[in-house]
Amino acid sequence: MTEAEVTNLILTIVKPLVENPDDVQVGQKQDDHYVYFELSVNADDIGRIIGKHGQVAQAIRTIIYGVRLASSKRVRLNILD
Amino acid sequence: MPIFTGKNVDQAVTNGLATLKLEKSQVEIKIINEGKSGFLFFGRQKAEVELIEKIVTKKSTSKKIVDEKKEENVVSKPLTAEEKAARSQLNEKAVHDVGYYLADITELMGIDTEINVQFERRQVTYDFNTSKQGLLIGKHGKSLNALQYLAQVNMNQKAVSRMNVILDVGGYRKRREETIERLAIKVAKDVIRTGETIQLDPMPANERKQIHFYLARNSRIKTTSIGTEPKRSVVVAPKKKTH
Repeated sequence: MTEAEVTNLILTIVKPLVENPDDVQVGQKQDDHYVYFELSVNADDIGRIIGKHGQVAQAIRTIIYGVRLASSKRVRLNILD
Repeated sequence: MPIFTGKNVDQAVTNGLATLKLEKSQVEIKIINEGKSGFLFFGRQKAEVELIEKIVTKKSTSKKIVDEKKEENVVSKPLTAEEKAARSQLNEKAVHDVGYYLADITELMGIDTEINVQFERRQVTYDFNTSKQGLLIGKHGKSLNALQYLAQVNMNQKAVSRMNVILDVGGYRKRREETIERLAIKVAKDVIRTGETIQLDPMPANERKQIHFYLARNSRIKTTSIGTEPKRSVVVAPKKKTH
């Protein structure tokens, strides 16, 4: 998968779960081992994305960490607040 | 999905399709009662069928299907008492939307799949028919459970009443359940035979619950759980004699 496809996957998962889908943004950083996807949502929606005991965040991570990037780097997801 | 009745099976299906405004090719038909013509008034039974809508994703076409279906759902008219019908309509729309949510995600994950939706009272099952089962299930169902959780969260936001969401891949849940039951029975036997306490491997909450459930009836052992998620595990111990 390409980075753009992962970004798209994150948006597809997150947007239906928030009240303000237009405020969802995914940025990107990388180092030698990881590609970091940085998710930011409207301040009102941060709780929805993290969930009780971080369960929603955990589930999103489980799904996207399974992704294999073409560059063989691992995927990481940061939720910005 | 709703159940429809008619004089015979064909009639019941036709009624159902007319109500749902769907084509025969878009549903899976499950016959609940074939119906009997009976003798005079005795033993006459209406045929009952359950219609299960199929959601099919094929890479390029899925977006189109989403739009069409959404329209259909808005058009379809409720049948019975207005409020109740409005609620169940909203719930059905939620079932629908969550189905497409799952279809969109799996498509982006590179998993081509057909999703069969079964909707009965408070429980919705999305059954995935795919050639990439392993990818969708993950190790010990990790991916499938994560996806199920997200679908549940999405459902809770959309549906009016509380609905339980289950994702299944070609009978995976059933197979896993049978495995867990066998494990529970085996462990119970070992504990009773040796009189020693056994701690099982870490398992997700629903699987621990199954073990507790299977062994609750057994008066010679007791079960507890120790550790913290996600490494919480069941402990099966012999029950101390009370006298």
